[in-house]
Amino acid sequence: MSIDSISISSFMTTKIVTEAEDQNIHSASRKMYENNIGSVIVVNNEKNKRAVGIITERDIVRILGQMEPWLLSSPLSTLMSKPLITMTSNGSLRDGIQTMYSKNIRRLPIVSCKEKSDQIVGIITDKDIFRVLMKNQNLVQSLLTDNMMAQNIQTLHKRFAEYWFGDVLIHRK
Amino acid sequence: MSLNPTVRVKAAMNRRMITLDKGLSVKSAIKLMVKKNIGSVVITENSSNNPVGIITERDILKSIAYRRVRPEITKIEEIMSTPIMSVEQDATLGDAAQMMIKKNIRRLLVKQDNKYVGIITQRDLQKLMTDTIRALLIM
Repeated sequence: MSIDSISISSFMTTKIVTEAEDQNIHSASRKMYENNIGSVIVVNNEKNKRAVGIITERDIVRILGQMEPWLLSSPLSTLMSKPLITMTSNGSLRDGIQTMYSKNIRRLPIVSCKEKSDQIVGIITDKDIFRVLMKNQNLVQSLLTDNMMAQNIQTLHKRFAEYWFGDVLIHRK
Repeated sequence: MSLNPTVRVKAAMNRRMITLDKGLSVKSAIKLMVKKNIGSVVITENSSNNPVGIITERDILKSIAYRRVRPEITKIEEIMSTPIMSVEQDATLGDAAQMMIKKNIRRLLVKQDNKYVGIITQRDLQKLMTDTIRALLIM
């Protein structure tokens, strides 16, 4: 197993919670809370479910922070993040990590790689990435060993140490 | 987390606890979260520094979902999460992660000698891990 051979589809969440774009903050909040999740995918209508955006827990708190009562009844289409950044289900764990970081997002909806549609088939979050890495400690270990052999070993080692052995270094000070 | 048994909570925790009094309005908590770009505020009582609860984005989401709240009027103590869940600062990150999973929570206050000294979140743990991996991937 390597970071390139683990496919997104093997660990993505396939239960997608959606809300129609003409609904409001209250209904989106309810869907998130009842499903114990931090975001809902916004779709253009409940029938064909074409994904048009996403709204997160943090977005909602920010919207409330504006203290404009009319925002609470505004349609999600005017409040959501768009366009939706997605990835295809045949991507790898590496692709997923890199897309999230380069776009600075924590939730990545996955679209089918088969048909040319914008049908959402899953979603991955930073938490899913964390879980899959935790479950595959061998993978992490081999990744470290391989890279430790690389030429820029000093930089690498330093960065690794900063992250994971921080308190050892702190104690030495 | 067996990879890094030496890393302790105190190395990764945030030592700056953002607090508010439980008698203040939910509006003030929302404002502070937005201003500081944080997902929770630690709640104290009677202007002491002793935490009695925590208010999170999820608490606010819940109250908005069911329209129970008028942010200007509702007090924080009516919707905050209690009791405080905490971990010792010398516990390992693995211990903290396990406790979060077991209790299904995303934040723990950090204790040293019966005093609260910081906060650590699930996201802090995730970020540590994925940042490390990412650092390796790009090199």
